[in-house]
Amino acid sequence: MKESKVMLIQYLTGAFIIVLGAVHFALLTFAGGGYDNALKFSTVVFTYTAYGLAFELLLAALTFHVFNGFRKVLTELHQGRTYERAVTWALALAGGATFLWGTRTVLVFLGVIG
Amino acid sequence: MAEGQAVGRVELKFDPKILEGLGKPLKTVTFKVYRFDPSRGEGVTYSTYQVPIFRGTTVLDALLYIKERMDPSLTIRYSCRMAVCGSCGMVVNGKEMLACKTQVEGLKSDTLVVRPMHNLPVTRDLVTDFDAFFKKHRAVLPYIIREDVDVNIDREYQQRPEEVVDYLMFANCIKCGLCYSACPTSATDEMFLGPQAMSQAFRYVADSRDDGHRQRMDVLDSPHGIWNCHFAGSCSDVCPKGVDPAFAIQQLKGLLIFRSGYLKKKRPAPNVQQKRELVPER
Repeated sequence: MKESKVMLIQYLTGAFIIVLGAVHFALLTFAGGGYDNALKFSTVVFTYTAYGLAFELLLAALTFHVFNGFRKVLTELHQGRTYERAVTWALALAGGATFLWGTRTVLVFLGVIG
Repeated sequence: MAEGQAVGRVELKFDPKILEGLGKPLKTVTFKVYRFDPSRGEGVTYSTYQVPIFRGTTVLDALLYIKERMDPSLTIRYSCRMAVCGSCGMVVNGKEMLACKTQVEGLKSDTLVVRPMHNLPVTRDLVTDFDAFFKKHRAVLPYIIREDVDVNIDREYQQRPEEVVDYLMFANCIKCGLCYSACPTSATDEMFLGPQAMSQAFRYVADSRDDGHRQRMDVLDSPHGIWNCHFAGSCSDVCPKGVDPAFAIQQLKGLLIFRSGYLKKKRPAPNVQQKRELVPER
């Protein structure tokens, strides 16, 4: 994939994180009738159940943005074909694992898996 | 009159008689000059000199004064003395500038620390090696590319005045390397093209006569190309010719992401012969 495409996704996911992150924090703070109830078990379960898809999208955007950003930082600090390939693959694998583990959490909350 | 001395190297007495005929100096400024000679294997040292400053004395004048009268071993690169050739770029008190264009009085300091440019290997003293710099410059194909006509024919291309404005600022680049030295990304990423090469790429992409943007964009749209620019803007800040490389890089990013259609449709300006064929003369 061309670098311009990668960076376009990087910028879009960045904008997406700002919007969805705000929704995420708003839900965590105000869901269930206010700040006092926000961290009650029933409120948290409701929030995750009702907005599971939103959390999954936030997870996908965050995973790409964070791991690609980390790749850019590491390849800027040190250069070399082998090193850059190793960094790219290592972070792709780490990002994939993070996304899968996060998805599992969302699916548990949604009751899809036990 | 203050005494001239070279710390850690040779010690020369300053003879006040050499000032006869030069008028009265405004003040004496201490120059701490970076010294490095790879053949000596001593590493980097700083030599200190007391230099009399007159009205209009430039940093280059002062360095040549040191070289002529105090320490002939000081190595400097310069040529035109009028901010045209771009040979005498260096870092004075932490900021990149052309020694020939910078008047000592204007720096408003009694001590000047002079060192070679950053991000380029030092050949000796204040002289840096520009090989990597020009290699990156050549990588962006800094010339008019035409596939439809022979560029060597002696017919001019049609270009309106407003089309000249699109790239004129970037044509003022004298390849002095100051922007490259000031760039924080070039400091960590030695494969980064650097602001000079990228602004020159934009200079030709924005030129209505050029048809080489596809080849050029392939170079720019790479892992160590325009996307590594952090938009610090220090390149534009230090340019002695008023070129704005940071602006050029942002324009290139915009062209690649939002206006890729424009690049696909872009057709180069015809030359005189082609225009006659398109619009027959009456």
